[in-house]
Amino acid sequence: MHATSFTHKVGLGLRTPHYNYLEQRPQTEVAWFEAQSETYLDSRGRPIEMLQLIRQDYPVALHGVSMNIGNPEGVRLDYLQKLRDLIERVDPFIVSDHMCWTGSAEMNLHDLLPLPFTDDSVATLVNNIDAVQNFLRRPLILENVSTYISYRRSDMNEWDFVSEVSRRSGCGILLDLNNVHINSHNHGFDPRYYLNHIPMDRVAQVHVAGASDYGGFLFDTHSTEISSEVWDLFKMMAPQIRHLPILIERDDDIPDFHELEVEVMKAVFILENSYEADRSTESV
Amino acid sequence: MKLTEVQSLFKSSLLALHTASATSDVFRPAGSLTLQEAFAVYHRSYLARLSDALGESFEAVWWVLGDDLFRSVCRDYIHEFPSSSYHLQDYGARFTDFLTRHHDTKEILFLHDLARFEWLIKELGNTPTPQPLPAEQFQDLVKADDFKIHFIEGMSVFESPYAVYDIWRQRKEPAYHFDDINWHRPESLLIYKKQKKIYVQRVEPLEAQVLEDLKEGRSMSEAMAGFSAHLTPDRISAFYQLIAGAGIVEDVLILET
Repeated sequence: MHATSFTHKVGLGLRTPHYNYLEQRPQTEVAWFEAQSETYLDSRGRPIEMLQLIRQDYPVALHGVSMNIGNPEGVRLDYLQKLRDLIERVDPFIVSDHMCWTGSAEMNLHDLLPLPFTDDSVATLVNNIDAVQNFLRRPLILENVSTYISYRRSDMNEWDFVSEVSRRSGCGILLDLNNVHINSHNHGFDPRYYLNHIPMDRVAQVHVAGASDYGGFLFDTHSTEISSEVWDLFKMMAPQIRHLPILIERDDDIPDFHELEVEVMKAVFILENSYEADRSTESV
Repeated sequence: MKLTEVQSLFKSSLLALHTASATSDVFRPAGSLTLQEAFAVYHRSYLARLSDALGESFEAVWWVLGDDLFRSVCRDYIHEFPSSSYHLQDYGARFTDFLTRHHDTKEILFLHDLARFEWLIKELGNTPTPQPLPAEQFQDLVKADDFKIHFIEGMSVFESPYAVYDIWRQRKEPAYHFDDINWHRPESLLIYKKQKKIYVQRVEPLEAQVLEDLKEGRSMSEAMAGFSAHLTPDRISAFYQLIAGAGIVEDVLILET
């Protein structure tokens, strides 16, 4: 059972190294868990049993990496059918993926690849999101991704692109502060400017994670502690996001559960000390 | 340039790791990277994700080959069999057969069976937690003259001319212990899921054959027919105890005689 109230909705990713601990159903500081959809789509063994156990005590969000929403050929129907089945089984409060492309029907590159910020991309995304939302009969939430290559021909900035896709498709935004930080470093813009131009009434969830500095660029490894720069962005945004579900994200070099709980508590502390007056409007 | 064409160019640059002059008109690298270095970031990520997926499924094969050779074999496999699944964990279904064809691994006689063993362990791990018949109930039912056994889904019999289980058990040890393993020894194994864990138990070749026959739907009398000379009452009783103790029976169908 979890001890924290849902007032400050800070969650953690459900990860395999924590299964043994969580199976004992301990009291935790975590308000909800995010599960990577693909891990559970075909699972008939321990992963799905673990997710269903967790779901007895916590709200759960499903977060995918392989929807390939930026594919001009459309989203795979078999993927959507399995996702819909999983949604029926675990009743998540959020279903999300990434605003990117991941390959083609015959070849999944298993990466979150950048889209050009063009009208063509917006049209492709809006079409695909519409199809997905109709199929799943619920809103889709899409995350801004970190990138190491951009396109010379772009019709707009990343923040305008993300906003336009959300406005025209009705999808929510999963605002990843680490990815904003990485892209601001890699592509040379002010992360505060980016965040000030995202329509907060479209933001449905927030991710906070750590990156690795490779000298010439920042890389989104999700394997390190959250950097001071990302915590600074989090503090700046706290008054506007304190009513939203926040996720502390860690996918690699996963530490002990209690170590991640400390980051959860840190996020809750920051949110509790932010100012209610600056809060945004309702989430989508 | 249409989005489809842009993505096709991105994909070919990522995979081939060379950038044609036309590519630099389309893409801009991040930070202080050159365009080739930027595609190399994605290229390395691609190889690492798929190789890690193979490494997770074939941990003992990795141990036998060592880091460099395993990564090299993975690269060749990834090149020949790109992933089409949405889930990385599905990747590697043809790796077992690939090892028998690859020029660096085909001479390692036990490697194919070791990989087959590891893939089987993985598949059994993905079966639901079994709800077996209680051992006492099973022991009562097998007093009947003849019956068929319906096993739990997470149960399999594995046979190999090589001691792959011994090799597999060493996979977390330093590589030099490998020379001490007497791998040229036939092995018959019963592998099964009990509660949430996978168990491996050595069985006699005869027991393995009977279990295989039972799994294929033959009755107990049919399965034992060819072995009557070897099956004493004590041995049959020990066999039933083995099955009951493992908790691999879901149901027993008593046959009219």
